[in-house]
Amino acid sequence: MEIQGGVAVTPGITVGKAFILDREQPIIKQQFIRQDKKSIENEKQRYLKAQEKAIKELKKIEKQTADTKDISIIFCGHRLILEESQQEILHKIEHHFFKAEYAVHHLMQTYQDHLSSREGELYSRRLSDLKDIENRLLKHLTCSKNYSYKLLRKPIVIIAKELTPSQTALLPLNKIVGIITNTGGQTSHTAIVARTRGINAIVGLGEGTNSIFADDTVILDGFTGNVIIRPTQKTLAKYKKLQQKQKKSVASLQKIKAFDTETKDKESIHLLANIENPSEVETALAQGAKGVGLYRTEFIYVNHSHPNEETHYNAYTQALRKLANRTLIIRTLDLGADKDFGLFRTIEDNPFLGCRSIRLCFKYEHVFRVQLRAILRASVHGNLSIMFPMISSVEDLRKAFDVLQSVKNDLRKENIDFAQNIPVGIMIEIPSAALTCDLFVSDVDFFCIGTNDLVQYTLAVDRCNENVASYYKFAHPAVLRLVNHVIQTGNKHSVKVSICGEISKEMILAFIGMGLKEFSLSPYSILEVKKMICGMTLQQAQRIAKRVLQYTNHEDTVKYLCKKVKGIEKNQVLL
Amino acid sequence: MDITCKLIVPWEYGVHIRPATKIVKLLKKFDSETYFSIHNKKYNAKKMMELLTMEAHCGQKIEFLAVGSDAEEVVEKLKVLFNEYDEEESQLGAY
Repeated sequence: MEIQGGVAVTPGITVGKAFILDREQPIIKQQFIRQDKKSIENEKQRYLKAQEKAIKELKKIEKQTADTKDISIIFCGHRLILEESQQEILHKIEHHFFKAEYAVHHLMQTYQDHLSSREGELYSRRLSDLKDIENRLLKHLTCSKNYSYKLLRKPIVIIAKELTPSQTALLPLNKIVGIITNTGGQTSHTAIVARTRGINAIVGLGEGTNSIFADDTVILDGFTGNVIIRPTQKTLAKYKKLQQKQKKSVASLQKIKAFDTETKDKESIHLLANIENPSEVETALAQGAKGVGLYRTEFIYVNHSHPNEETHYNAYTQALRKLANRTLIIRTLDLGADKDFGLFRTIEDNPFLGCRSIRLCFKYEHVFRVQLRAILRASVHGNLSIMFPMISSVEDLRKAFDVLQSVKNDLRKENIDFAQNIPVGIMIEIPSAALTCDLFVSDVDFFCIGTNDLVQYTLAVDRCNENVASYYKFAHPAVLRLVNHVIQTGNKHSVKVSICGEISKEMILAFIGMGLKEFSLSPYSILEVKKMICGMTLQQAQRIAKRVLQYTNHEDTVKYLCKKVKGIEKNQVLL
Repeated sequence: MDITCKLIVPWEYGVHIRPATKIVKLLKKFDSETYFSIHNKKYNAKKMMELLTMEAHCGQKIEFLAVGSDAEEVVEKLKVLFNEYDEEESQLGAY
């Protein structure tokens, strides 16, 4: 069975076994199994396994409540009902070819209909007993939650509504080959995690995920965004072949590591990595990154609910030591909106337009100061830069500088060492900052264009809302003109400009042509991008950029750029 | 051996999940086939779902039938169950 309509986060084919992390209580649809002996037997076994688990669970609760006999007997009753329903449920599977979930639901519905026809509270209590029994069975049929992660064997495909940062922290990422979620888009947390870790992911599959059951064989087609569940042998073989081919091309990419990242006409391009955690520095360097262009420090909050100065300091120092004098650009806390982590829970109607990021830091200045102190203290251990996110006006920057200055003064008073001349830059991710970037050139050392938010704010599209996902057009002329404006202004005033964000190599081609020399990417995209750069000339990119700026819409631009990139890769003889 | 007897439902909320569980647990220990009948309908007394859907309110008379070699003992034990005054039960109601 093929489910379409997902958003592929990383290209490539992945095959694994489904592990249902969570899902909304599924709406049980009328579903049937194939009418052959094997399918029937499989389905019966699947039901029996779930029943066994449910009974085991009930026995445990009975034991736990043993000292209140009148409570524990209720669970004994649930168990008896489960046991006596077995025959009828198996009958529905065997003779009506019902899928186990549907068989359970169907039987319970019959009981419930029977009871609902009676009046009074008397029966509503019994109804809730039945609902409880049904939910317990369905839980064991559809969710894998009660497994211990330790017992899981590779390769796992995680199925979830949307991975929250704290869920991600607990996952055995080394065993996971794929992630499938109901919600989310290219820039959702799941997508970012997947890209950073080199895990294949398909997000925003919607209700389609409800058709995936625990232990199903799942194929993620990272080229189309489709998911194939319970494939036939033939389909599986086809995808396995594709997978092999892809592995070979990954291996050939590794060879490119030895080369410098420069165009055929010797123009050097700097490729850095985005990280969320100091432990990712090794991966980044192994993938050929020349440093870290974006350290998303808010992820410190995933593992520590109240990180103190030492927590921050240790993380930054660790990253700097691993980088051994390579660049580390630390972005100050970018909390709020999609990265709330339950900390400053203020309910806002429009969180992306609300008190997030630097605004939150200004509101809770003590939190901001703790981080800045830690950054300054760590600065003696390597080559560190500070970057302020969500700057919308010159006043924002002034305010941030004031706090930084005040923290520096504190440290001086306390005789604590920190590096002099730490480069300070800003994220350009709000159109107001992009349009007026000339006003910042005398105060900052670099601009870093945050494409995810810049697209969202320029086009008025909530990037986490799948209802407007089709409006999220990263190659919209408005976005391209803003980016171009920032690049030109920066280059004119000798302010270094870079881009960090989830951008494709097609867009990178265009931005190089506009004059950009530095990119910060997910570690696993670096080699792919490097390969393209080694196969092109700057002149060619400049011509392409010129053309791109004349296009009137996203679709034409993307189509044109894809064609150009394909052309470059086709003519590449070096690999 | 067939034995029938008349019983009065003592539970405030009828034969709900708790008494039903007690009844089924008790009857399953015996070989006899056991039935309740009410409003001219017969219910298998060893099945939870039959008891739960049986319309038997508090104070109502129901007929019990046991068929088998241990029928006599079944009836005696069931009578005890129906006559038990369960303090905790009445406090908890139908929970």
